[in-house]
Amino acid sequence: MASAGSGDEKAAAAAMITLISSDNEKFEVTEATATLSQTIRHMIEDGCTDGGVPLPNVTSKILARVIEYCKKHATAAAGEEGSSSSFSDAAFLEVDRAFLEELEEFDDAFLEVDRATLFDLILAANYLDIKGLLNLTCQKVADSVKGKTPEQIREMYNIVNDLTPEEEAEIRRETQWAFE
Amino acid sequence: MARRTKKRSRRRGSPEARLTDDLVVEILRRLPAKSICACKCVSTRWRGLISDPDHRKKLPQILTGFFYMSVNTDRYPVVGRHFTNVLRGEGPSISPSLRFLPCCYHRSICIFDCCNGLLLFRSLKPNDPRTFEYLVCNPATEKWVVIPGSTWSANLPIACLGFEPAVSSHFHVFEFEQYEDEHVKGLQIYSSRTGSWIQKDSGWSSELTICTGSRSVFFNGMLHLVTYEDVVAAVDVEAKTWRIIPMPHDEGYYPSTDIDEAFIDLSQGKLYLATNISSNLTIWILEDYVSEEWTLKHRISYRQVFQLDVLSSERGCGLVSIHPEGNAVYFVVGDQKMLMSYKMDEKQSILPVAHVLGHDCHGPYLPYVPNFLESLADDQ
Repeated sequence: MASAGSGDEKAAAAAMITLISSDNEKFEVTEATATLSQTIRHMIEDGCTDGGVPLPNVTSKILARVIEYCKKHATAAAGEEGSSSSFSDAAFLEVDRAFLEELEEFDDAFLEVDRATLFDLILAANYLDIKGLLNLTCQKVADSVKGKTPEQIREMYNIVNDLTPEEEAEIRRETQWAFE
Repeated sequence: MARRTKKRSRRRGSPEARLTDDLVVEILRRLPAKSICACKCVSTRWRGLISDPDHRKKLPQILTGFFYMSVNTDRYPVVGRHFTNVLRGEGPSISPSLRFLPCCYHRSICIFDCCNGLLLFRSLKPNDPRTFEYLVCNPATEKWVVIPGSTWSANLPIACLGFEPAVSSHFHVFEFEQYEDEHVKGLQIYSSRTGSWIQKDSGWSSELTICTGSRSVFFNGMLHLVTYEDVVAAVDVEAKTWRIIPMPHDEGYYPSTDIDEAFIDLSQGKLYLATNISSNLTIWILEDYVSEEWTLKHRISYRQVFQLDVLSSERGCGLVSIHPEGNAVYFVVGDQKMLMSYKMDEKQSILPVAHVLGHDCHGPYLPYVPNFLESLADDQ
């Protein structure tokens, strides 16, 4: 799909944005990649991206991962636009399906990170307002919590139990059916 | 509320402590209701976030309690509306008096149905006491609408509500007309989308009699009803598709015995059927809707569970609901109508879940799961 509409791609490639991480590392990305972030999109629309976009809340390590996600998904977005304007014959659908599968595999691999990084990604996705990434990362945490006991959840995320035994017993009584 | 919970959480080097309250809620709202309950026990911060009224609206809702009616001639008003909370004070506070309705409706309305957080009432028109009309209201948002009665709307015993918020914000009201022998003659359906009623003759392939007092279940765009002919009858919102799903017969266990009583409910997106044969309750799941294949889930002997000697189901006990998430069923037991729960997996624990409802109350006991959808039947 990426080979379709090369003219558009050239135009997008021309507009480059510089993102600056909290530890002062600079990342050059295309506008198409950067605008997956609503925060940066608004900055571009307001014309305040000259000289780079400082992102004081995001480290270079996390920003590199976020950009990796945006690059992949920006191509996906371009691919979708391309296919909707062309004939959706069987061959195209086949390519689309393959691409979606590839994207899913990418997302799965992308989430293979330690818990601290996962939470950093959630914070970055929230700050940069990247809906897809926020969805993906929050879902990953939710999936890890699903079906677990309170003890398991606390252990997994290093959360200190500050409920008194009485409070905890009371909650369990209220929602007894959930603890069978 | 949010401010208070924020203060409580301290940085302890745990990654979770770095997330804002909104982000924790963002994670929690992706969990099934059952997991939410476990999460409440994690810490004071999580408990606070889940209990916060603003956040709770975003989280999956759980069974809060039951609406039901009572009739007592020694009392005024004779007919009472009630709500019993099974969460012991948790969840939104629900007042059965529904004070947010205009006062002309306070006394005269009867609850007919409850479906995914919406209630259906029938009432005499305030300025024309010979005409009936319907009210549909959402106790969680205190929104309500009045629906003109159908061309029938006389004292028809069966009126049901169909509402699937995941599919549409519109609802439908189903009203059934019967012949003198109580077979279904036809129905009228009100659509909140069109604002009008349609009328159709019964399209079921055989003569059916809907069990009065049994609950209807609306899902997949179809209303499902229990009939005395040992089938589940279903009809869609346009009265174009009519289905008859035969009830399973537990031949090996109860050969050639009639079903005394049947009950349907929706749990985890599937239709559940409970049949009472000679004081033995059998619970089935319609695993495959298309092939109409029922899977046996559980068998309970009323005698074993309730240790009751007299077991006429009308007097002794009655099944009122299958929990929408857990593996529990709810019964109303004894003359004083005690609401109790029974966990199918543990096979013995039978617990009172609410106060005694009282001898004068009667079903249907309508399970209520709040719905915070702001609009009531807006345009899509």
